[in-house]
Amino acid sequence: MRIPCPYCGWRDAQEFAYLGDATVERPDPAAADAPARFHDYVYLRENPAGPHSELWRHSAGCRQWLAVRRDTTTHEIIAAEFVRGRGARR
Amino acid sequence: MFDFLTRFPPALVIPPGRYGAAGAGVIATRIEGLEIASLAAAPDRIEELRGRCRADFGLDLPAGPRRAAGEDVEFIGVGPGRWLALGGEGLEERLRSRLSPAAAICDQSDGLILFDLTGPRLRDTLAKGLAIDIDPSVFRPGDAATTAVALIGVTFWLLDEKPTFRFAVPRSYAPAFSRFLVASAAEFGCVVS
Repeated sequence: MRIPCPYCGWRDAQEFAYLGDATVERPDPAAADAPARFHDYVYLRENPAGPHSELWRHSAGCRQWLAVRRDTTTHEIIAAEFVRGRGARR
Repeated sequence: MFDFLTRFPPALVIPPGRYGAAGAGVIATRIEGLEIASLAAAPDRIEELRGRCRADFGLDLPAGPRRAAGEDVEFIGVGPGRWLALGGEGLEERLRSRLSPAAAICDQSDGLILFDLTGPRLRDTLAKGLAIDIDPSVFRPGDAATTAVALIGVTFWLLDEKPTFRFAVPRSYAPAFSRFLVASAAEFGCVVS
């Protein structure tokens, strides 16, 4: 499996460290239901068969965190973008 | 692995000599006397840093994994907002006086070892350890890459079409890198100078 790093270009997946689900967002710790929301944030994950967003770090290349869209059934890489600045681009 | 490496201490960089088959399929030269520094700029300072490099060094900082070379300094793109700088004596001070505080500057001269690699069988040799395409049709002079060779993290760039590749290897991995190189180039004949 190869991942298209936005800086380095196509690289073997061995150059990357895998973290996991890129879709979860850290809840507001001041919210009234924060404990329940944090439980879900820490423990609950979807396990989709098909396109999924994941965090990968290009640890042997540019050392940047990427959000990678990957089809879990075929390993097709649909897209990859830097996580840094993603909030501003949304 | 050919005999020599089974006897040679694994913690030492392989010394100058001829190894493996007759001939010079690969020639490796340790480069001394260049100072190295890392540059890192926060996203909101990158344009300022670019402007200073243009004004003071006459160089456009590469936006990708490429090399920009001037008379006494060169910059290699290693990541977004991050570069390696190489130059003569006093490099860190020269960079600091002209580019600080647009970038964080840190001397790396004792952290990285430089090797120039060339020879008619060099690409065949590197193919044994590299997972990226360095064919002359896609990896051109001035192109750079930060990747792993034989699982050793390196940054390298192509200086000319001869081809001469310059490798920057973390100091403590230089013995392992030199063993990979000599073992892989032995069938083509390897000259270390």
